[in-house]
Amino acid sequence: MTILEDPPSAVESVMPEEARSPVAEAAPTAPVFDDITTAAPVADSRVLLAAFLGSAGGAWLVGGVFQGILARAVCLFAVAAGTVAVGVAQRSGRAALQYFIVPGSFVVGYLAALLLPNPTGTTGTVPELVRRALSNGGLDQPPIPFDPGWRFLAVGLLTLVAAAAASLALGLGRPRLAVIVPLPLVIAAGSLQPNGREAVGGAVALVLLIAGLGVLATAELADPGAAAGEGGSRGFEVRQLVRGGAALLGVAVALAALSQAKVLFPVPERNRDAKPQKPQVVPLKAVRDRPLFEATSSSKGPWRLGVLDTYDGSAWLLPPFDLDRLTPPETDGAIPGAPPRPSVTAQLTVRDIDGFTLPALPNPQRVTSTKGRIGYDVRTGVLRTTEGAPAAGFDYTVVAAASPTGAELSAAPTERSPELDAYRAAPSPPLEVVDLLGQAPTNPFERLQFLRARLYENVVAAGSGVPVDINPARVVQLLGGADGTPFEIVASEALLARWAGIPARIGYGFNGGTAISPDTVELRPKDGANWLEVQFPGFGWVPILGVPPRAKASLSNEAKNSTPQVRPSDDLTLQVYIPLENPDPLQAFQVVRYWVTRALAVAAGVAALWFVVPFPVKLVRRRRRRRWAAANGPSGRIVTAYAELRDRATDLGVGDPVSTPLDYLERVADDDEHAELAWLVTRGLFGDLVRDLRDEDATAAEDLAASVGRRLASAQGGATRAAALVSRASLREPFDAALANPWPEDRRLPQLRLPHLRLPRRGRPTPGAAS
Amino acid sequence: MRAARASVLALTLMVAVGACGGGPTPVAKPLPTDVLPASIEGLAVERETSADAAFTAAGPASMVASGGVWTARSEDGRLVAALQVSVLEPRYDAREITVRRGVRANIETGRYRWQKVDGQWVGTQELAETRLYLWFPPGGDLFEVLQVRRTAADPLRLLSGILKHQQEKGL
Repeated sequence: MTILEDPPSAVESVMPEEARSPVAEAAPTAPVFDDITTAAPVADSRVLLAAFLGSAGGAWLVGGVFQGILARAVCLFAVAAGTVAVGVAQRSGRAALQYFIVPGSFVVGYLAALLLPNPTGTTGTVPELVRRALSNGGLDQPPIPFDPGWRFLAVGLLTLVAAAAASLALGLGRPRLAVIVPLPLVIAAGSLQPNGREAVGGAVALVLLIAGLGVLATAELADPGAAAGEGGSRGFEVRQLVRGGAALLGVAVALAALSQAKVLFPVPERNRDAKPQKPQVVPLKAVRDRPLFEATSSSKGPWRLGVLDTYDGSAWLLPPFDLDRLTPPETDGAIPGAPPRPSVTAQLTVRDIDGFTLPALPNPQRVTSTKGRIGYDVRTGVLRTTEGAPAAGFDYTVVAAASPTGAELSAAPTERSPELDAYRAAPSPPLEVVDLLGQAPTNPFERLQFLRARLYENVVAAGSGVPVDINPARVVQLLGGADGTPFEIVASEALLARWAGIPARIGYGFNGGTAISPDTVELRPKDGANWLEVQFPGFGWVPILGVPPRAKASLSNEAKNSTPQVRPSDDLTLQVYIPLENPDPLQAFQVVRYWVTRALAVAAGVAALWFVVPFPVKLVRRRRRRRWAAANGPSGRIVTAYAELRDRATDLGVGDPVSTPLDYLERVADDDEHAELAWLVTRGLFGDLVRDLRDEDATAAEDLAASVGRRLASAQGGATRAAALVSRASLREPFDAALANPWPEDRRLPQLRLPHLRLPRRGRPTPGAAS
Repeated sequence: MRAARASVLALTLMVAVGACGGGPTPVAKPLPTDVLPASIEGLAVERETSADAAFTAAGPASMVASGGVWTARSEDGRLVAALQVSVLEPRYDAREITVRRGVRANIETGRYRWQKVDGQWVGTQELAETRLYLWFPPGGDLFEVLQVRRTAADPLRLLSGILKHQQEKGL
């Protein structure tokens, strides 16, 4: 590498041959970099390959978070795209082209989001897709469907990471950055791997990372100087690679073994998902009111989304999340194990519902007309898409067992299935409940209805249905006539059912809705509901919906589910509006924030002005110098042209203001034009050409200085060139102090010395003021 | 003679001390009682005394000196509407725009659609469960809030009935 790019052929010297020869002979031929470091140069292609391999490790793990091999392929493609883009920009010699990678990554991400297979038909703008992907969640329960929103995020992120790794490694001349930059991504994605796939995914990523390092290491070994002491042969490289590969394999095996033994890493936090969880409910008023889905059916619902089927003594819990419970329907859509009963059909159309669960009637027997694959959770009895979240317009048909009548349930077999004992688990009933159980009929359904009737006789519904803890004592309070939320009432029913020996759980989803046609209802968040579900042999899990006959009247404007069967009680909830005086609407922190914001803005403006002021000053300086040169003949022009070149070199960080033109030749790489210029300056100002200096010589000097200056600058990195524009170096210490230099010498201005950005190019050290 | 001097001195002091005080402390007007008839538009009206505590519990920053809530219920006891009448602290005059703005901004969304009902400007908010009407009677010492269920048959007629009744009573 040289700090001067090859001279363009368009610039031709006007120096006579006899004058040029001594220059060529006198010009130093030895390496001119006194401060050369021991780092060996690495070819750009190897750095790019290392960046690809390092980023591919991250891409492999990121892809592993999602379902299907497509995710990994897309992620690897994104990494390749980012790396190749940097390579193309680098090869073109226009480093600025790399800036187009940022919008380019968005374009690639957008294309990945829209063009790749989309089984569930998700559509929308990029922000909508991303919002939907994020709101659907699931990152803590991988693998998740590779939805378009995730594709955009993954592709954009990986393209940028790979491009950043390659660009930084090349631009800063630190090849190992190609592997180091993607490392945080590798670590982050590694922590999100699905259960059981951590070891394999981590091992592959490790192999790719080490392969990236290996590419760089072999490049350094291949350097003749570096490899001289080691033999420098290809055989040596191969032996090293084989040894490294064997060691890598050993490390991977050891890591896999340790990960199984749970010695190396703590048990992941998401293992909690293997246990029942408390439901996390967003308050209804915080949910945007919108149509969630439409249902066309002769059945009035309910439309199930899930269950709380575990009671821990104080709270009802969600069942543990387990994708392995999902059973695909048979080819005709039949769901194995569905109760063989008369059926009812429902046509459902998703409008705007979050998550992957499909609302459905209880006890589905068959599901058809879906887009993409779905699974049936045998424990909770819900349907779930497995290839992406259901998009707006996602429609499907559910054939479900018709709801049994009370008479049918009363006539249900009474055998006790031990498999359902978990759904009868409850603490010992309180004495009040024991008394009630003593009065209850023995028939399970009638027993259940008896207990529910006692509860409904007394309880007053009040408040929202947000799940809360409920213990046996609270059930007794509700039986005694206390106010209870709808959830507390349902939870009490479920406990009473379990105390009666009936398998019970809490179902949740939607009920009611707004009729938009004779057979079609539209369900919104306010139609959310929960209900008792009990299991009767031959009928499956049967939802038992009821409404307490009494509820508190309210004029509250919080959205709520209106149920016409509920009558107001004597209690009343009123809202009273009392305006309060706020004598000082501005809090102290607001005043402080106002002034701090403005002060910071002014300070930032001043700092920016201070930062860029050298640029206009140098423009003024150049104009003054050229005016002076024009008035002082060829020698003045030569002095000015050369001084401008040296000042430019100083600003680029490769200058030496005290060296003579010929001395300076030794500070930089060999360059014919530079040598020609130096000799022209020396001879024209101090030597044999002084008395015969012509305008042609001055013009040649100006052309040479301009050419050398251009190549000097283009040989530096973009950041260095940008810094040179605002550098104060040549203003403080100009090459020729006798020339115009409109900069205060007494340094009354604060001297914030900017670090010289001596960015080496292509792995070579930066030429600077060599000692 | 001494007694006469002492009397003059005492009288002078009394006058002087009395002159040192300000005028009489302004007192808020009492809460009007006849704000609604016993029944209106077929709804039974009842004063909800349980709401009175809310006005006194608001603290010194409250702009309201006193207030009351009247409810209107249907025959089956269903709550249909509630009227809140609030007497402003005497230092506030609802004829001043700043006071009206302060009150308006404190109620629900603070955004109203204004219309004139029986000569009275009334602001309306369409809320999730209710329609809310706010108005400032001409005296400048009151503001009233009527909340009506959205399911009510003709809330404007109910509002008009209330306004007419109050105008007849000189509120």
